[in-house]
Amino acid sequence: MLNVRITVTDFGATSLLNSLRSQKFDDGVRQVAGKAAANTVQKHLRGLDRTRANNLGGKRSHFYSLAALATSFTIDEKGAIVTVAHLGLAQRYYGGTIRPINAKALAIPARAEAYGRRPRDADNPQDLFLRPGKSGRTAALVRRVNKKLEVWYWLVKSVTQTADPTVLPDERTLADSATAATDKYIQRHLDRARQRIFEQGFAKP
Amino acid sequence: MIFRSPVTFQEAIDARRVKAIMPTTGGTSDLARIAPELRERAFFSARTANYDHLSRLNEIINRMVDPDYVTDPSTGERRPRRAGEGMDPSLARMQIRASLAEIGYDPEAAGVRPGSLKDLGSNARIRVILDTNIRQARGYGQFAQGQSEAVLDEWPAQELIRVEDRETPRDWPSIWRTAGGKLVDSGRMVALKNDPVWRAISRFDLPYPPFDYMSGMGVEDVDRDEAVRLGLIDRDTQVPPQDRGFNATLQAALPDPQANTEALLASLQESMGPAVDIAKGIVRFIREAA
Repeated sequence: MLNVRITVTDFGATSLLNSLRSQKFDDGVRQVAGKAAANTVQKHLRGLDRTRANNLGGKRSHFYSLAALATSFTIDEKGAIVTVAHLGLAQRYYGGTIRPINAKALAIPARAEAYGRRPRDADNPQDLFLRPGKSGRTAALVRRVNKKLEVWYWLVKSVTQTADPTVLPDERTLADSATAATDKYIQRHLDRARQRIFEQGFAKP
Repeated sequence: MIFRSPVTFQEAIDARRVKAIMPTTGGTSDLARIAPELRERAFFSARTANYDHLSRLNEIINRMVDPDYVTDPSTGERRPRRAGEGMDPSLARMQIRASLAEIGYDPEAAGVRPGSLKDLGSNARIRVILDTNIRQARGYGQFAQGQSEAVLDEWPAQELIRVEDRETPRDWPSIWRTAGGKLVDSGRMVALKNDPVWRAISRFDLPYPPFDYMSGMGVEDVDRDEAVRLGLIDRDTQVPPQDRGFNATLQAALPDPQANTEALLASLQESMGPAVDIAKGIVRFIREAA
């Protein structure tokens, strides 16, 4: 009978586990999770920019593309937070009623040339004048062109927007993207550590 | 969990905070002669020599980059924005034009065609100023957030992609190749994040977008598995982080904005020597003899 003794000692598993247990590694995992989720949000917003041009056909503001660029992440002890620091996105996500604060009415663009422009920002704003509302007709800012009146802005007391959760990816998608990235990150570190151990050789007699 | 509270993109805000006001009579081609590291630390607009107007323009852009906070006009302190205090592009245009009216700006008196790109109050001019400055701040912010070791380990490369359509797009694959970039995977413009191609394709000589005025181009992360598949890197090589030195600049910044401008102009004089003439706080560029 021939026996072969295998001596099992520390292959460096302890140092491997120690390196993975460091604050630096933990922070790294959270950063990867945050960046993965931020990338998913950015990709989603860029997709919206391609498909959601304004209904009036006015010059595009690329609202969603700029929101994508305003997407960032931070990490804390619980994980990561992705933020989109772009004016107007929260209003779209949560919806709600908008009322004028510094004016008597909201001016809603009625034609392509007015899109994205307040009345005083329109071309030749001095040519705009008020057409009062009456008998069910909405008040408007109009311009006389060739003896006809063109409506440039509808004047309303408030606008209520419905919530639109599709402006962000759903939470499942975000979680999956973060998980997939952190799994790869951790696996890669394990593979490297395992290779280091192998290259260092097994325990010496 | 999705929640709502005042949020900041700190790296983008830092990109604005490092800037000192730089009044100048120089045009676009003059300003391109300034070293990119100095340009990152200066806020200027071609042929705009009025300090007060530049200061107001700078504040408007800051509010757009940091939309959930404002500088309280009575206390000078930064606080969360209240309803009605948001700065959108339309309001920005109105305030910029009001500022120009305040300083008595008249395009014809300035020798430029009203409504043209050289008219400081034209839609075209204001759009380029706002677009470029906001995108540069956010572009830097994205770049800075990608520079941690962990993020570079997972995403060592990025791809140049079109993020917004343009009526007349530039030929970016040609620009890429001319800059030394290689097309991979049947025409994709992908490179490691520290590849010199990123600065080489940039009109501004910066490693982050925008890479040209109103270009419609951006970058998207490419993960390590994909980068290995494309032959750009192996499993283990690390892309070193890049630091634009903003932290040092922020620490050295003086509380008085005018003092920051003086410090910037001194650096500019040291950097460019006889190529610039700086008098009464205004930078003039000396044309080289033909």
